[in-house]
Amino acid sequence: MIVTRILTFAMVLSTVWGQVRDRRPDDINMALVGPAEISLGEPLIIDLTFSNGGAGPVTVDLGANRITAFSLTLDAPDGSSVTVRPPEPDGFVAIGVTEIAPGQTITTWLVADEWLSISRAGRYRLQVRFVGTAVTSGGHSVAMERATELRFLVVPQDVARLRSTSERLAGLALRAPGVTIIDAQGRAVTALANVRNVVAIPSLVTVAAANRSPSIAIDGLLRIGGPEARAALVELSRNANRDVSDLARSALARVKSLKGGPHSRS
Amino acid sequence: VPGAAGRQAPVRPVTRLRAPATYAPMPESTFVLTGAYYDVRGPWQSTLTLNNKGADETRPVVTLFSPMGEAYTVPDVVIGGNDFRDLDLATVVRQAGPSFQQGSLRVAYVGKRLEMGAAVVIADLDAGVSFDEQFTYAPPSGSTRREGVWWRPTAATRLSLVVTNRSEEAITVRAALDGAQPTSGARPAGRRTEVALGPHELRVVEFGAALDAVGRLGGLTLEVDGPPGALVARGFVADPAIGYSASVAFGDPTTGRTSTYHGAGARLHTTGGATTAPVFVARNVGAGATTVQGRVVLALGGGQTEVRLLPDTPLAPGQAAILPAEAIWREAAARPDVVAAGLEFTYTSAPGNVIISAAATSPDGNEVYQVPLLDPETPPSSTGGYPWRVAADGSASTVVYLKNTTDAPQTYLLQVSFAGGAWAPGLKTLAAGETLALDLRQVRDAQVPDNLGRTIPFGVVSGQVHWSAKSRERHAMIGRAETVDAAHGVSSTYACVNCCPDNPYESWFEPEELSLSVGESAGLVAWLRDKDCYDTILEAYDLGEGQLQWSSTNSGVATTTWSTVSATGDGTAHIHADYSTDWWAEDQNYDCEYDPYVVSYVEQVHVQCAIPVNYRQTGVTDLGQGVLKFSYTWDSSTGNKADLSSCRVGERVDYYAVDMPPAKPPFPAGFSPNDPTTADAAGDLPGGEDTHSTSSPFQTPYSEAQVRADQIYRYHCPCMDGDNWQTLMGPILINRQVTQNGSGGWKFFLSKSGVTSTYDPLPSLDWFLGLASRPATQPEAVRASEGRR
Repeated sequence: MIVTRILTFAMVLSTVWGQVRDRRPDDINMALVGPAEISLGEPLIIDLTFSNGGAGPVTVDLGANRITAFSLTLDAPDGSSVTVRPPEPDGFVAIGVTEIAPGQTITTWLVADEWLSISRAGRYRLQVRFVGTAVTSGGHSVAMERATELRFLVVPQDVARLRSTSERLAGLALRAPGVTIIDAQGRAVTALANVRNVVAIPSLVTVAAANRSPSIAIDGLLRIGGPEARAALVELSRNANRDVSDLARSALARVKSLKGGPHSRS
Repeated sequence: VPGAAGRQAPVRPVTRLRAPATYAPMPESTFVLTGAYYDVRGPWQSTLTLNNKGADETRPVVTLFSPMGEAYTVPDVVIGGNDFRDLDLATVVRQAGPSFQQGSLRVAYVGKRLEMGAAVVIADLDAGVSFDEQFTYAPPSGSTRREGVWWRPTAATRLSLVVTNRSEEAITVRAALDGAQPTSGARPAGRRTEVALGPHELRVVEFGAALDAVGRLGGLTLEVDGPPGALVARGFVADPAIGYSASVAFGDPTTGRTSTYHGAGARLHTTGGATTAPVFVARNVGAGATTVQGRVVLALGGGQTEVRLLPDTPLAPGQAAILPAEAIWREAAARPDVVAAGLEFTYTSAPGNVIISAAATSPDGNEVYQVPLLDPETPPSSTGGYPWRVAADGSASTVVYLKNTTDAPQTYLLQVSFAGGAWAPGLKTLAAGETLALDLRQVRDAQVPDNLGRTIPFGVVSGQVHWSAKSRERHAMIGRAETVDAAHGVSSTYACVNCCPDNPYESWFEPEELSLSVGESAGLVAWLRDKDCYDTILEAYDLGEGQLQWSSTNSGVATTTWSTVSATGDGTAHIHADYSTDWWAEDQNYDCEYDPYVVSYVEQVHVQCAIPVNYRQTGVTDLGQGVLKFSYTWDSSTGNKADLSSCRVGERVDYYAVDMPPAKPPFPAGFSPNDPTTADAAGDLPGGEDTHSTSSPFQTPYSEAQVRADQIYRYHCPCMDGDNWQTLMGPILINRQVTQNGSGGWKFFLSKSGVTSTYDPLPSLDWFLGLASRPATQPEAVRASEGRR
């Protein structure tokens, strides 16, 4: 135990020393881009840019699936506050280690609804803190401002807005991925799966049927629930794509427990 | 001339283009050019410029003829390929003898027609007076009549006429001087003269008092008894007191082809910025009345033009008049947006029945910018080759004027050559009637980039200009080079066409070959290099996508939208681009004729469907208590992982039906895997991780139980098999099993790919009841108890 503590102290010390020695505040800049206003039931998509203003490459570890290296604190209109850190996901996920060349900017994303509940209208504040590592090619930590925040207004549910948001996200999921946002297709499907309204069902069916991360889309149907979602799953269970039909049938088998989110284990 | 900076030099290999089977180049011949007059007496200096447009060195025979017809051949005149040479005739005359202080000139060379150009400038620089003359070939046919028109700004201005016999026969020349109004009856003495000339003899005729009788403008008519081409004549108008000087050119009225004249470039301002005055003098040399209409075509840049019409001027037979242009000229000169001006004149009588001279003069008369007017149908081709020069002190510079003589846009290629390099702005277009004015000193000093980003170095002071219209119309453009010596207030003009327009010489696509991934696009550049009719290989130029017809041999592999090639599927395709042009050649009559010619470009395009390959396990970690974490990565079949941005990489796990649903107990209540389980991530990401856990806690009473699943790793890409999933690895057995541990307890293990994580022993019932401590092997945290996505 003593040995472990000494090692831990040495690691902390070396990290602090590295931060002091490499202290170049502008080397990595994190910025948040998010909506100023959403409707209840509309996903809260947070785009996070990491810009390397330094002279050498910097490797950042955004965590598994590029989500686990962030901590989110949501201050609700009623004064309550909740902090969550996305848990380590099970199953196959993307590695979050990314090298950023000098002058390069990468954009990753979070769909906050996956871990936070926004259930009433009003003004919110979301604080995002990066808790991952950012190191130079020499292995030294890079000093950076790790916290940023978004203030946004949640308006009462606007069904027309949810429909158009769903259609827009489906369009993004179906078309060729952009190059400016990491896994832009996954961003669109994940956000679409967090539209909590039946108006999203046609878009979810379209995306799943097109084999664009159908498991996420079907999860979205399960979240929405109800006879319309069930009908959509029945439709997808007849899809020619074996994956899609198998996933839909599996979901239908569990449809009696539509209340909670699905459990994915492999 | 706008340039496109930053382009790279073209790359090889090239396709050497073959001439049409019918093409037979004209053999070389001996050609003779004649200049009517030179003078090195007193303050006069004469410079003979010899311009070799051929690619090879040439040795022309330059002969001076004294006024009495004596000949002196200048020794050792050598001119390099694509070069020009100035001969100071005073130096030559010192060798030839005093009888050659004035005379005429003959230049003979072996080569192709018009391959060599020659001009002489006679100047008294102290007086600011100069006369230039472009040498001419003896016309093979035509009449024995020549007509000229003159204008003099002051009563003191004198008019001299030089008549030279370039033939080997004796001839007689009758000259008649007229004023603005037609002459009725016989001309009085002093206004007519008759000169007998032996072979190569010349006479200078001074019109003294007779000039005062006819006024400030009029005409000169020459009639020859002798062969049609024997006479070379030139008039000189000068008032040394004010520095005014102008040459009078003579034309054969029977050789006109249209009732039109065009002038390339007319100066609205002097080099000092003062507004010039237009002097357009027309003379009706026909038998009937005529009306002259004039147009000044203002070039505004960017292909924009505006036309100003001069009032119509009726002319009776024999009448001469100044065309009213002052008001239009002043208005045009005051506009800052006017970058150049061109002149166009038409008349209502038959071709050749009106002769016109045009000039712009400085307010004090010292600077005279003559604008040679051409019947646009008479030059043998729409081409030009001129010497250019810039004085080291910047006081003199050559301005190249090109004018579109048609009512449709015309494309042309221009090249400025100099020792050690070239400046070639590539294909350019002139709008209908538009004039380009290209001041080469400005191009040099402003370091204007050309088509390849090159500039004319500051130290360069001379070279050659070449241009050729890219038009099927033989008479589409005219051009000339005007060299102005602002320090001495003199200017000269030089215009010499080539035998034919340029022909394509070699072509290539850039890049040489394309390798794309499905979904990618790339641009092609079609380069072409021309060769002129004197075998000079010109600078390469980018044809521009709109000039070509584009097609693909396999649109399933690659499509083309103009020059943009888009990869659509796996395989190889060829992109074809055809450039329709013409191949020009002289016929036996030295007429320039064309055959349609197609330059074909072919680009091989290899298209690869970028797919994930070499999927491999890069690590595995036993996180304890039956939890395994695997790491994987993969490559792109193209070597560039970014090409996988349209692909998804993921897993599918199918559970054994006999094991489902999991037996509970002993498996945890929360262990309810989706069957199948799928997940995926973007294909261009660095790699993936796969964590296998089983929730917790395990439930008692424990019993033998097993949950098996087959896992595959896979991908799908739009370009592969209709975007359906393709297996990368697997199936791999994932085995979760609860079994006795041999020590009287129970254990759980999870195994995959030869790696096992064990939870041994599973907590006993006493532990759940709090009657025993936690098992020693129990890790502090059970990851699987955390929330899962």
